[in-house]
Amino acid sequence: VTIGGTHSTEGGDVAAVDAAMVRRAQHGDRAAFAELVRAHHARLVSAMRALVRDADAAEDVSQDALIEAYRKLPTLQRPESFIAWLFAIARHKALNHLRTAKREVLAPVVEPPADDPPDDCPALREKLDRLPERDREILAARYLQDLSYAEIAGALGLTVNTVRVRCCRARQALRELLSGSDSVVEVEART
Amino acid sequence: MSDAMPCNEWVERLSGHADGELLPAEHAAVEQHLAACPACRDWLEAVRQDARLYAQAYAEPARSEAYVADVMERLPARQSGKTQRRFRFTLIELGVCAAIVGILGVVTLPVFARAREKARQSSCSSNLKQLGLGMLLFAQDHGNCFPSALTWQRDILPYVKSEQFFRCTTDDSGQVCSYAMNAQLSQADLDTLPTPEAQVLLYDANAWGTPAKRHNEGLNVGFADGHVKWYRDLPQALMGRVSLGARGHNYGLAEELHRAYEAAVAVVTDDALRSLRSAERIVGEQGGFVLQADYRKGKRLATSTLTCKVPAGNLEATLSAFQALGSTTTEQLAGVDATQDVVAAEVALRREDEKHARLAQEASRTREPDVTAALRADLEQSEERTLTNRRKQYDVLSRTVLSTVCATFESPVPRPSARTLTTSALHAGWHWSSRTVGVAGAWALGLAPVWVPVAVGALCIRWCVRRRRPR
Repeated sequence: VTIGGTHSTEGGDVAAVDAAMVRRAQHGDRAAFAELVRAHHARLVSAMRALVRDADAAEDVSQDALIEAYRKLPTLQRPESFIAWLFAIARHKALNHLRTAKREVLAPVVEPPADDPPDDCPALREKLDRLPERDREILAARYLQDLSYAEIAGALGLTVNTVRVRCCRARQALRELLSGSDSVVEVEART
Repeated sequence: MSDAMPCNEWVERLSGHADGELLPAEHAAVEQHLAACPACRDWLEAVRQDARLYAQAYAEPARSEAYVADVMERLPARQSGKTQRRFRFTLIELGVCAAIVGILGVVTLPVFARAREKARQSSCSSNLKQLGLGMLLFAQDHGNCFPSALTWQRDILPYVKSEQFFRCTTDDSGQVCSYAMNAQLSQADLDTLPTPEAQVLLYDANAWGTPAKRHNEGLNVGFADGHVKWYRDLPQALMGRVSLGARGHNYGLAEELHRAYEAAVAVVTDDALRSLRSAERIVGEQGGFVLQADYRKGKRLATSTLTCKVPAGNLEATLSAFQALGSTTTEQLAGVDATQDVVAAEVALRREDEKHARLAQEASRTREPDVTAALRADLEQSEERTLTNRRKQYDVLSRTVLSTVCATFESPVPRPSARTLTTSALHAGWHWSSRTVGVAGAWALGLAPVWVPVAVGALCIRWCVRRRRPR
């Protein structure tokens, strides 16, 4: 995946540091990659959680994506777009996970107790999880990964205009959901 | 949280504004609108609030060092694609191009082949036209008679002046002349032909004079008036008075002509001596006789030769039997037109008979002893000449009735030493490897019309796709 643009919301320095780290990791520097993992794993896990709607699965998917990213790192042509590239990989992993999960009829997930990090707002998240998949992935990319439209376009294989329209629709859906109207159920039925 | 609804036509731009992704001009317009429209202002604020809520809802705390260590532990030892291959065709690119090239090839190749063959056919037809012209010129200079069917190539060469006209471009058999003359018109008088435009003179043929369908499953035929036409089959109805036989029967030549055949065949067999014995037996079975038989054993080859005479009618059977003894390397059949010799011998004999009768009459009439003695001497001389003429006639006739066949049989003498075995194996190995490389190279080059367009097409597709892909 060719991903253009630079990291928009982060400061330029951060992007430069990232790019330097990525370059080192590309040459097999594991310490540099560990630094990248340290810096980005939280955001990645949260985005994956929004995508797969399951804390454990999000962890697994994120780890798989990080490992895959390390393996394929030498093929990354633009180190400055590492985050978007990582998100693209993680998204594929998440979609794979969702597909196989759909095939295997799973027993209802029993919420794991206490061991997990404290759950701040389970009710809100439950509500948000009702968003359709295409909205979830664009919101995750925009709000959790802080990617620019151009980066999202590269990661999802869309044009910038499509991203802009989709972003707007996702936002409206989110607005509808959070403003408490019952039409949310219809939104879910659409999926 | 408000339920404010924004203006429909502004909602997309407002969304972009919230993300800071608007162009400066758009940004100014949105700011202007926001100043005037409280609903949109509220919506924008609500949306920003949503974003914060969303981020909060999914926010994950940074994991401990153990998490990072876990990931690092699971990392593979090696990264793939260290040396990045920037240039690699995808299956789709290659597949699409191969399909296009394949379809184009399937559509165009037969057309090209046919067009090429058409061109060759017209060049062949021009050859035939030239040769026909040469025939007519020859006839003009020789009492309106065509040349002999056996020597026509040599006879008309001074008139056509180039040997190229005797070779058809499609003919790849290596024979000197690709055309045959209709034997029915051998030495035929042009004045006696009722319809020269419907009389086949020359046609595409192989070495044995049988028609060869070289051009688009047909052959070119030249007529006695000089015109040339393409036929799917040789038009037998236009061949002439006597019908032509197949190869097995007098080699397609007219039966009423007197021909002295000389045939030669060279055969590689397992055992030259045994083949010689078999050949002698075959000659006896075919009613012929052996003139000379010879066997010679050399260092590497054993050779036996056999010269014999067989009845002209059994020539074909004899040759086939000889060829069956091994694998034939060369096979030649030459026929010499002996018609004139036969006629000359006959005419000389008749004249001598008339002269003899006249002399005998005079001798019976006269009583003078001197004259009688002189006449008697003349008569004796005449009888001697008659005898000579009869012998000549017999000689000519025997040549046309009995064909001469010369057969050569060769067999390798097996006596390989260890050294020659090794060197020959080495040589064969070298030969094989160089041959393989050569063949592979030739294939690669020969298939260039396939893979070069495929590669170029794939490049074009990649270029187009790359150009359209959003940056």
